[in-house]
Amino acid sequence: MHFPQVDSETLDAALDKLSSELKSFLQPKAHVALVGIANGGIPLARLLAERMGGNIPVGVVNSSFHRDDVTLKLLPTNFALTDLDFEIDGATIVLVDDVFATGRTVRAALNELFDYGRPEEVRMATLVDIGQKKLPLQPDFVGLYLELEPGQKVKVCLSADDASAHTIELEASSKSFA
Amino acid sequence: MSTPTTWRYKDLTSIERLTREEIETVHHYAAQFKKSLDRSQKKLPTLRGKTVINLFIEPSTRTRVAFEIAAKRLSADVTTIEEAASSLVKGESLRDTAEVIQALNADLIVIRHRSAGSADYLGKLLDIPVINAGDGAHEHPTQALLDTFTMKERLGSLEGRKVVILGDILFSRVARSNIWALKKLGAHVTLCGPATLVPEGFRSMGCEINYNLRAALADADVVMLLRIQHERQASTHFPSVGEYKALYSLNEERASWLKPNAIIMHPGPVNRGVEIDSALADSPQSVILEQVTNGIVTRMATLFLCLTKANELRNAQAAPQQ
Repeated sequence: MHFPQVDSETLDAALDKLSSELKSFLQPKAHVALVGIANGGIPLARLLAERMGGNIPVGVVNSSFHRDDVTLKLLPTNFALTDLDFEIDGATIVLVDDVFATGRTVRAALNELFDYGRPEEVRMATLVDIGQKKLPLQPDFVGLYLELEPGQKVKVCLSADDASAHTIELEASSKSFA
Repeated sequence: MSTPTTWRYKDLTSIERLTREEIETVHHYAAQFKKSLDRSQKKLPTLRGKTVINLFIEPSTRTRVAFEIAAKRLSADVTTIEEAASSLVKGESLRDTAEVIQALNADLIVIRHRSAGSADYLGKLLDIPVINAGDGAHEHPTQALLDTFTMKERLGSLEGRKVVILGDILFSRVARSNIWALKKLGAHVTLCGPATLVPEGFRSMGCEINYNLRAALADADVVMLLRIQHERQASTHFPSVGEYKALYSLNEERASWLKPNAIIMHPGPVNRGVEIDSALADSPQSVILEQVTNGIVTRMATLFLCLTKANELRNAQAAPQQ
């Protein structure tokens, strides 16, 4: 199977689809927030919030210390710290990540999030689902689906100012989970 | 700014052997762990299933309790062994005690011992990581890591900053570790105190020595006070505590010689009224209690790094040869 080449237009359309679906879902709710999973989910959460009108709080979760492989190798130092500058208790939180692969990152992110409080509801949004899930978890909102070979992974780069600069590239996978 | 993560050893026995990048790696992790102190659920599952043994063959409050809390915050199981309650008093050697601890399936030993080199000795002997919590007058690496972390929190980069270490340098493992750490981080270190406690030999570590307190404190960003160990120096290294106080105790007037935003540090325990005036120890310039709090997160970082490195080394040994 070949990796389907996705251009920036397709990515931008996926962003539009995601933001529109999220807006419909969140509009009737009073206490909502988008939470980007460090690091790939952070720019995506910001872009989505902007496309949804810009008045939705955006936070960050760093799930590193809840990961099941955390003591197997050192973590990169460029990981953003968890930053949730709003009330978690009772909120509807949408976890946001650029790529949904095995589901392990989401599991860890949920644990990190619940260390800060008790949300009423948590949903998951991802720009790309690469069909490699290994846990009984799946995203509620998906921009686009790609089918990858086992062991393959993708890297997404989003531009805040220029939709034509969005890119997605095929990467060789390490043994670590995505 | 992103810096590479690096940690080369399963043990942490000295600052001298660490690189600047490794010190900054500890600070980076400490900053991450510090975020967890503010929330209602303070525990992380990171070291769940690991067993940490604190082997404290010398009295300690801050370091021992900070290591205990650090291990517990990372969900490790922790047991503290003190000399009086160990088989060491029955004549068992340190080596045998340590090997028994390893055989009891411990995953890491934190050791404080009155003999310089004891942590390094155990690190070479054992397969499990060993962290030095103070070995004689040699080194106290986690104290230097928490001190430099505290300085960076207050002052930002330490590059070009002037740090004065004042008091008993000669017998101080804290001074030695801090000098190594500060020099690696680009700070200028000035040592000050009675000449009997500040030997000229320290110049070889790249320090300035100034016996004039006013000149030493001028334009300093940090003054780090060290405890006067009454049990040793009072009778042999200076005439009296009163004279030490008259010449080297930090009071409000002397603190005014520092830079306006300078910070005052002390690794504790503090002899109030001897090294520092009580009011000054409680002033906004003092970061003594911040040092204690940061002692938890920097020790969480070192426990995490040493255990992760031990896993990496074990996995590398187990991997089939290509």
